[in-house]
Amino acid sequence: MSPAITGAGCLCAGGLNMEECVASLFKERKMPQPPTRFTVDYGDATPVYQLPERFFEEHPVDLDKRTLTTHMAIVAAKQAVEQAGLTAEDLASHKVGVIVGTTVGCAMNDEPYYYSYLDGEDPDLGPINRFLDDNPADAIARELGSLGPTQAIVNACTSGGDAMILGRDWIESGLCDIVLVGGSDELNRVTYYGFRSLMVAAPEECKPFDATRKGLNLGEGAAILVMESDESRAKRNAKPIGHFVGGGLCGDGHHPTAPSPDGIGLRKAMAAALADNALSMEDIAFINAHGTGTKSNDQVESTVLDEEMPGVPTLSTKGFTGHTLGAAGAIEAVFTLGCLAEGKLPASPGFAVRGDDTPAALTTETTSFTGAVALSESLGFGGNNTVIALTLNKEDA
Amino acid sequence: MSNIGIYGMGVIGGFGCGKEALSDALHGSLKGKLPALQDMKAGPDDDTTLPSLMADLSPLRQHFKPMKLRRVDRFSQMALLTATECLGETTPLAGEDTALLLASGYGAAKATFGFLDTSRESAPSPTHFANSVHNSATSTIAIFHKLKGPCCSVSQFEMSFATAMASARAWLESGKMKSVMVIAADEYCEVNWNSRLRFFGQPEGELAPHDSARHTAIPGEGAACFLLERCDDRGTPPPYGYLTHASVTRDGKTPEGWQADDNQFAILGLDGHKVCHKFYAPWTAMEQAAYSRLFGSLPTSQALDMAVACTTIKEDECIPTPGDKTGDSNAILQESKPLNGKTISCIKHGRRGELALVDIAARPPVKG
Amino acid sequence: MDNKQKLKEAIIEHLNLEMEPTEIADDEPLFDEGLGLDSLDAVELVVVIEKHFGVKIQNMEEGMEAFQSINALEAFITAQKG
Repeated sequence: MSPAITGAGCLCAGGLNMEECVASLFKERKMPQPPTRFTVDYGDATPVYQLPERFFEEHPVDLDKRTLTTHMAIVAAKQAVEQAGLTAEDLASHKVGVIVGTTVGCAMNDEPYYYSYLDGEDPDLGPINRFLDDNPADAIARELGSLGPTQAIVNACTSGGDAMILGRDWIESGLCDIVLVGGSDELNRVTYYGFRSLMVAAPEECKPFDATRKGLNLGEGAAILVMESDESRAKRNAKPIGHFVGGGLCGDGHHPTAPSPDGIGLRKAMAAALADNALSMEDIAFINAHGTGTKSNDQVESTVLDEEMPGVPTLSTKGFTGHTLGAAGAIEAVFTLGCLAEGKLPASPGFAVRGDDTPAALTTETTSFTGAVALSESLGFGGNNTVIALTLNKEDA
Repeated sequence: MSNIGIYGMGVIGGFGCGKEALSDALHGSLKGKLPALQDMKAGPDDDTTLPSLMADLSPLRQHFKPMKLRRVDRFSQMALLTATECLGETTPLAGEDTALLLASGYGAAKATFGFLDTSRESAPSPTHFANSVHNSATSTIAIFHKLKGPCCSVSQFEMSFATAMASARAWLESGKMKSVMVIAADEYCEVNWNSRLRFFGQPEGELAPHDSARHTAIPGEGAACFLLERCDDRGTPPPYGYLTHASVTRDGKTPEGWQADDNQFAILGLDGHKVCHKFYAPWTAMEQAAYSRLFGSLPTSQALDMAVACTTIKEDECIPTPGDKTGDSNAILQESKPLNGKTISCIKHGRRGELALVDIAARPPVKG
Repeated sequence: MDNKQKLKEAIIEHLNLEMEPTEIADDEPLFDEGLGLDSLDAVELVVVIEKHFGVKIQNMEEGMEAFQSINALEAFITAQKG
């Protein structure tokens, strides 16, 4: 089953809607900067990719009442719904669901609240209320009036891709006809400190798969896509912007934070994504890799790509957006559809030379491709591996 | 299409550790024996406490050496213990490709605050950070039991468990997965307990889940694990019943096409929260019980309700609400009686009235 | 208390090892065989060394050299403190 994608919304460092974000891939790379919305109280500030400042003017929000993660998710959802032409009546149904991947969005980690609590100050319950009210999937449903199941996927860095696979599964099972799927994560100081403590944050711009890479840059953003059954799309006479033609989820069962050196989970996830529509490597036009810039991810992913998909044009878009965690799989799905529509890939930012441990070659200039189906990969803490397959017209898959 | 059956179960909570402990607690309640409450810290000073239903994790050490457990936090330990019990009962057909789906309302709350503790000292601990990521529990289960299948974690507060069951059902019905373990877990966390205290105050007397007039909720922690597979693949009837329905609706109404049998038994997620009581009004006429006195109030309590449902099916005995049964409905079960092949609806309403509905049937559903 | 003893106690406490300092030999490999620590323990050790000894480890290449054994770690700390 290959549900249609009829709308997409996207926010990241590169832009504030899908068109802007995709266009930014083909412009000169912007460099990450030290974070400006929180202080870094110890150690060196490693650079990050923040949303453009104009986001807060164009989409004002009271951050005492709403988390940025949820706000971004709602903005992206509204863009997607508008593009898909969904009305309030379409949405007010038990068969419309929402699945959002996130890490920060379901974490109660408000520092001022917690420290004030520890100091015995009985802090205002605002942050608790915000946490209870702001599950991003729920908040989208309330905002849009959908009545079906909502689910926040908290599966670390594969959450955005996982949301798309589960959306497809809900449609296939008949639980829903339409599912808003995607991910959202804001830059948060706690997560920032966390990645630094793991010694995987780069002191410079990230260089996915490059020999001289020194780690990742965190980023923030959101992407929501409208996924619907063919029946629903046809009934509404909605024009698809793409189709979801395969998805695979697989764990390594190896280590809490490092991928399995043999890449077995990634290989199985790739195979599962291809198997959904009996696709083979030859059908794959290009791959949007996870490619964070860390030693371990890039080494394992590069080795698997080189062995399983040699010669297939590959890039990592994290050099444009940073690693957006729960949003990554969804933002990268939007980029994948965008590049399929453009018929070309940009140079993979930060990549110049393969390393001894990263045999796969990435694009080093604007590259055209042949084929109609593209893969987008995500790997995450806990050894998760998620691969999705997208195309513009499902007849081509 | 094949029916989906529940072929294995693991459980832990205030009633004890394991299926036998749950069964003993259910039967013990008939004689007035109820799980002990513990006063747990619910504030920055030692004097602020809430009576709670806590899990005893010591049995985990019978399965795994301390060195192996050294950095497994409590949240993951609870999930691991129930998965271990479930896998000890039966080997999944999918072997190492068994899928894991974990549901939690609070997630790894203690590890999150533990990370903040270390951050405050400017020495953030990477281990605490790694454990604070919600899916650390599925990763732990996968590593300990050498599982290399799909792993996913979801969080939707009181709706978490039902959405996970809906996803598990979709995976099995699609034929994509052969075995799915659904785990639900929520742990004690001082900061969350403090929030409860500040929102609701101390309980106004003994926990009386059916009583709409008082707030009597007791916070609890616990976990449950269920192995789901297609009955056609197994070839034997499922010992714990058939999963026939799993849905979540935001307006609190039952979804189109769902209909109660004349003879259905309802396990209600009533847990002493006065504010939520009104949402359960539509179920007044259905024969019912509420088991929160065995495990307390936690976002994924519906999983523990389902564990009771599975036990009820296995033993063919409906046990009435443990503890205080005061309530307005005439359909509150007063004495234990055989289940007699009924379907059990596990019903949980969220704080805005959303409805999480999971049905477990004692007999194979009639195929239309 | 000498540095080696302090190191053993800090490692046991922070990595939650249920053992006595006497059970860790000074020249025993800490990673893979021997004590059996892994990459997540390694980054945790970086925090331990900074917190208890005031010595900052800049990257994991530097760290893994120092983490070979208690002896190696003690020598590293002494050298860094000058």
